Amino acid sequence: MKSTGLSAFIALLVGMGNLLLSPQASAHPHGWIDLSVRVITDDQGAVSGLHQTWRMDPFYSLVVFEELQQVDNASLEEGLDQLGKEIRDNLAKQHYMTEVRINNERQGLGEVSEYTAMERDGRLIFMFILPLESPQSLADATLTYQVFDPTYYLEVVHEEEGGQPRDNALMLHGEPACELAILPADPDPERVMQAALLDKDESGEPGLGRYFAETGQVDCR
Amino acid sequence: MSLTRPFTRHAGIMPALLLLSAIVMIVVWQGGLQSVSYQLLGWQRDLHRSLTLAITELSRTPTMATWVSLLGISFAYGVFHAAGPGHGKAVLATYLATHGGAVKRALGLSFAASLLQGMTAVALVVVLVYGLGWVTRQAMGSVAWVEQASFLLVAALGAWLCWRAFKQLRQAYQPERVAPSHSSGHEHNPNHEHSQGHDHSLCCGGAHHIEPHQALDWRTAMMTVGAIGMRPCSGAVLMLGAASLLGQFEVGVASVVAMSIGTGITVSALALASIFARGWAQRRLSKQQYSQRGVQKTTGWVALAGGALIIVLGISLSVAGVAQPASGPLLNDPPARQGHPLTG
Repeated sequence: MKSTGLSAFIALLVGMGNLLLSPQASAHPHGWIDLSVRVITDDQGAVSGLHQTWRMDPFYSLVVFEELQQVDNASLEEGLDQLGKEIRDNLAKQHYMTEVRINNERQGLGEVSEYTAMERDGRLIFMFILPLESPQSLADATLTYQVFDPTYYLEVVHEEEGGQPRDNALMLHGEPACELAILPADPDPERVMQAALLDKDESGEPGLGRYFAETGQVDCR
Repeated sequence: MSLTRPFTRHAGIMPALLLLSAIVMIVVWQGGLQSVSYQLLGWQRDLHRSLTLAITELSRTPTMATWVSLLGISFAYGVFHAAGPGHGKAVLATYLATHGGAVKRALGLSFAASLLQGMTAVALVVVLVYGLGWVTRQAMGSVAWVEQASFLLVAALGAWLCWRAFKQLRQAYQPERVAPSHSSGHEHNPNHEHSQGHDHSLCCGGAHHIEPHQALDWRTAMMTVGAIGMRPCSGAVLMLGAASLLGQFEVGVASVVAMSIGTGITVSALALASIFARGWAQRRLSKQQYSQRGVQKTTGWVALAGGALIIVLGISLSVAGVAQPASGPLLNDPPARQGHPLTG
């Protein structure tokens, strides 16, 4: 066949095009969030929600504070209140970037009404209570959650020190007694690649962020 | 070309790049690509975090050691950042694979485009933040507009390459005989036409071959560099803005330059791979005893296909880019300067 060289070359080109032409070409984190979570339970050991603290990375925080300070006739306090509302409203559209499962069953989430934004050591901190739609007993159950930005613009990781999650990155006070663990992301590289190459509208679960999400696990069995 | 001169002097860089591109190609062929990309993403995010911390550290204690570590991290970040998919590499690889060019030229284009990309981010921050008093987040928002301009330039580059390929083809088909049966060869859909190009290989050769000097056209080089390099990463703008808020703008600039050099190395490896792929295909073609004329026709069609691919690339990127958020999922887009003269 005369044209083997040429057709091989064209095939190579097409392959290269596939490789390089990703719609999520800029899908690498531009910032990160240090996460800590407290599981809220009542005396009977039923879980009603997750208390989440998000600590924005230093640069993202700087840039956000810069903007707050530009607003005239408003104190930083007022600016932060405004900012907290803006973040809550944006998060509400994205299911608060949180997925909660009990015994592998996806839980419905309520609306966040308690939240606050503040500044600490140059970092922007956003805290909120994310209620479950209906409280669930944790007795003999396992709760897992993931917090992630599907677009992977922001990376969400539990508070860590020296490569290990901190003890206070995941807490449960009171009932019941459970084993707490933060499992590192362990995605199948092939699926990561697919997610990176898929078009936004042709995939059921788009976005790279999911594959890099850590999993918080509360095992009460 | 003045751009390429430094690289010829440092001949030592060449074997290293050859080796790097060889490794890249081996990895691709062995199908280990997926796990490698995952590994790259992992390194990227670690480096991103180290970078932020290194600049913060440097703003507190500016010592030799903190400088060295910052520049090292920036360089490494540049290398790995560029290893992911990206429009610049797609354009450059397509261009070089379909239009050819010397190794020196590939290296010059890669480094010039990478440095321009860094400089665009610096220029955006200097003009918008220092000059016009915008906040950093607004400057980040403006990246979307610069991106659009860059995508249009990509499409324009593709159109320009198509036009040149068209001229080359016309020349290849013109002088001897213009039989009616051949006129279909001038259709604009390149995919169906490659085999037809070969039918002409029996025509007598002798028409002068199009020499690389035509491909060395500086206008094409400028357009390629511009189309690729005009698009800054909003991450770089964020970093520069934050560095300037810490009173360390020059640190941010130094970091961006180190990053660009790192990016240039990765892009060069890919550029070399494209050139070798082309060289390999061309050798195969010439072994198959095409006449010079046949080769000229074939390269003409390949060039046309490459140009068309680059047009498609520019347009699809432009369409996809419109939908992208400018400042992440948490915050609303910053108010546009012109739209709200009173509140901004």
